[in-house]
Amino acid sequence: MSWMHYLPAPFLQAVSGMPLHLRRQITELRFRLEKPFSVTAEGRNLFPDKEGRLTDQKNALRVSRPLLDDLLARLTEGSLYAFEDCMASGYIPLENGCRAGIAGDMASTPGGLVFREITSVNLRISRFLPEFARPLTELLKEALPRGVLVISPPAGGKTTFLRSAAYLLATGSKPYRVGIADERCELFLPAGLCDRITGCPKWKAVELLTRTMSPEYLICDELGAGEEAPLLAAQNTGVKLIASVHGSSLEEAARRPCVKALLEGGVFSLFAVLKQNFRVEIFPAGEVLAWS
Amino acid sequence: MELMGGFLTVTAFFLYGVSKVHKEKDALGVLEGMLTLLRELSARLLHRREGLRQVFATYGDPRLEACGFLPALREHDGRDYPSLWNAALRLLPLPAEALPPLQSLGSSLGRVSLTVQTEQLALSISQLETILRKMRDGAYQKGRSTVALWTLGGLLVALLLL
Repeated sequence: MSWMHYLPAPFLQAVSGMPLHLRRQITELRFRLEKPFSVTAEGRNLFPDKEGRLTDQKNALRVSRPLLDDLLARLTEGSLYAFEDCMASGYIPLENGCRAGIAGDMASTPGGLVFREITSVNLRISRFLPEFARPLTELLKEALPRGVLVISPPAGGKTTFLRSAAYLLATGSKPYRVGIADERCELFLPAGLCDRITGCPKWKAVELLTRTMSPEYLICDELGAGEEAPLLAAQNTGVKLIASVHGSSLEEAARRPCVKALLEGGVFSLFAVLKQNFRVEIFPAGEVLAWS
Repeated sequence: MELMGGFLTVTAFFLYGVSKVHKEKDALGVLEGMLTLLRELSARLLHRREGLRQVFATYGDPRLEACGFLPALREHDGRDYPSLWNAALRLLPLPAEALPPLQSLGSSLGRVSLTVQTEQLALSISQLETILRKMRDGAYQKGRSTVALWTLGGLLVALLLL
């Protein structure tokens, strides 16, 4: 597991000592200063001791300042300054689509917001489930006129779904050209006809990809306010958009101004709502537009 | 035979003096190399936000390669750079006065924000430039004196032996 090299020795020992079936299901590792180290696996928050035995919070391995500093040095490859912009946005991008969320004491400086002290790190482990988006990509092959909006609550598998969709579209016997606007460096792909712009605001990456790489599909994670204009412009060039948005239902997502503008612009043909245990419900746009 | 022995003694002392001067010249070259490295580091941090691993992997300077300084910095195993930098400093044949600015820079290398890091680099560069200027100013005169003193020393030893 490639993310394990980020862990300082005591955490590595604790994780290595956990039962194999749990270790394979780890989705997050949380390091909170002077608090117990916790691991999220199978949807539960677990507290391993230094040997990896699951215990209660009182007896769990604790996160000291030197260990947290060592972890941060490993996450930033010993070059904290190189991640300053991302850190101000609360994350550190890692290899293979993993990401470390950070929290702590922030300060406002002439150069913008900076972390004065980092007290929590959440190491999110990326998953690659190649077949996850198969039901969607089968529908896309039926030459749908427009794009797809993927809806799920936070940590519901949106990025994993988009990664799978990109993989399935960009590989296989009839691969498509796929452009990926990957602001937070999460949508890594091992293969395929993918062109990816990372570390760039999504609206800019969408504009650049559309102008320069002529993708057939454009993939964009976590739509936010102010990103609708370039996406509408891209739609007018014939590029099909596959985007994701936070929300627990179609109704909830459609209340957001950005999503509303895209719905009104007729950008989406399909809506995919992610449910628990990697289930996907796919709706045609007509059903949603009736009430949006 | 005695004259030959005396001649060899003086020559040996003279050559030792010359080698001392060469060592000081080497130290001067290494200091120039360190200054160039710090300037490069500063530029690549400021304009490209490159990580230290990337900078040390792609930067080359025969003066810093030969003494093992750059190879030591490339043996990065995912840990932070301060300990690596300070261990690598021990491989440099530098005069004692050049070490404090470099040690001070190393103590927080890669652990601070871009603004602080570039300010620390600028300070270290300025301190090293002053030391280098002083070393260069005195190098010619000091070199001549060193060779002359060792030659005279050799002559004295030869006379005592004869």
